[in-house]
Amino acid sequence: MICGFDHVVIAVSDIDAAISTWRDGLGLPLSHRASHPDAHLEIAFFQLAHGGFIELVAPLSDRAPIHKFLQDNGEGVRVLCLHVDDLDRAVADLTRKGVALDGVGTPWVFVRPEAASGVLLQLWPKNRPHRWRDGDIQK
Amino acid sequence: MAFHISAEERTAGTIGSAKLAAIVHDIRTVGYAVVQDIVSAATCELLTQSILEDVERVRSTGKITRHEEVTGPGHLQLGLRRHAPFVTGDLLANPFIECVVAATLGRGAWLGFYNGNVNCPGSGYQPLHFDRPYSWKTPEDAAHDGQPWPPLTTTLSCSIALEEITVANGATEIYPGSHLEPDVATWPVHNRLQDHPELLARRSPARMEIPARSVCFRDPRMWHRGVTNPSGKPRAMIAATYHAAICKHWRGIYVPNIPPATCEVLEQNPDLRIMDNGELGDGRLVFDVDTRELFERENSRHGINRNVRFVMPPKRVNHFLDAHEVGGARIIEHVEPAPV
Repeated sequence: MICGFDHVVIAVSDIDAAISTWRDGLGLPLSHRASHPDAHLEIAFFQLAHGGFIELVAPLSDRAPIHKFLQDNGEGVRVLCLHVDDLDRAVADLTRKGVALDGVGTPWVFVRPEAASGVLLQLWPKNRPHRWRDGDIQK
Repeated sequence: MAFHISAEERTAGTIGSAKLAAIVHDIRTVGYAVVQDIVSAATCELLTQSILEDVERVRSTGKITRHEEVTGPGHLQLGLRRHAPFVTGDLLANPFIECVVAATLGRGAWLGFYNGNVNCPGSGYQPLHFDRPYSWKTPEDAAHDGQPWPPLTTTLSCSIALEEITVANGATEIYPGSHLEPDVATWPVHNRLQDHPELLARRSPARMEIPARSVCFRDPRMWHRGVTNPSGKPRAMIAATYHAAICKHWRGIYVPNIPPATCEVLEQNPDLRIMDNGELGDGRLVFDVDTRELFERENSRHGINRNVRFVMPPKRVNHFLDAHEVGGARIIEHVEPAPV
């Protein structure tokens, strides 16, 4: 079942301004920054000393997946990503309890906001790596 | 985003230009837009009842349908009755639907598919898929025909909610914005989205929730799938699909480089389409003749080709069969429509 914090995704409209806020204002060290023109996204990561990280996501164009969220909601938390021991078992348990899920059967499973106090939750197997931090993502 | 029709727009039978532009913008960027309350309650009640009766008849055969075998149990592509009073103007000659179709696909767009989509209790998860490939496979091909990259859709799917469609009764899972993912443009046939988790990782799914009597206009290239219906009763929806005038194949496929002589014949007879064998044939959808009046009462003020033809008694349409064949249903004679 859900057993820990992995990361939080925050939608921002201006990646430079948001990096300044979190690095210069709040004092978090910027761990990594990447641009993904194919996905129309700019992303910045702040690793937290005691585990987990904060991910800022900004659209490069109105074709970015995050663009509509920003239009409708403004800047703010987009996804709260939590660890699970075993994704399949977590999905089975939550489904049995009637919790509304999206993405079942794919690696990317979400608990819908209406089932989590208004927050979109992502279920992340605790041993699954993050490419920006643990793998082959562009530096 | 959901859009409402004003009293003035209802009187005029059209949607104001600024609102229409916003609807088209959402379809092009997000992949869908919902226009609320544009189908009558009476039509929804009539069609829901007929669909539930027909689901009973299909289930009474004791067989799983061919579509379920391919896409997942419990998701019925159910033919809709093609005779009066079950064919109504606010479904197939609806000025607001035709207004959005014309704004998205251009005048001369034509109705290519009209069918029921029922999510039954006990249904499973369909494979994640898209309904249409890109009409242009490369930026060069698109530019040659004056298209941007990614190219605009040449097909628009209209999902008509007969009742409120929510997570609670199995609203379709969608991946907003995924219709603009060009990686899939050149995929070989049978290449499945679930084999590409790196593409899914860029996006989060949502649900295509639609209020009752409303229509969701969807770019069929957007990734989606039917999911379980936990409500305990069948959820009925209607699917109407339109194709741009440049699409000359009967399934709405864009065929480049049609020989000039063939183009001339197609221009002279808009009822003709290119068949699977390359020959030309009548590509119109078939309906019983007692529905003719509603189609011909008034021409589409938005220039939509309703693309229908009518069969006379003793012939009639068996709506249970051949939803995905030419005409969208089977023509029968001296027998009653039946699922088998």
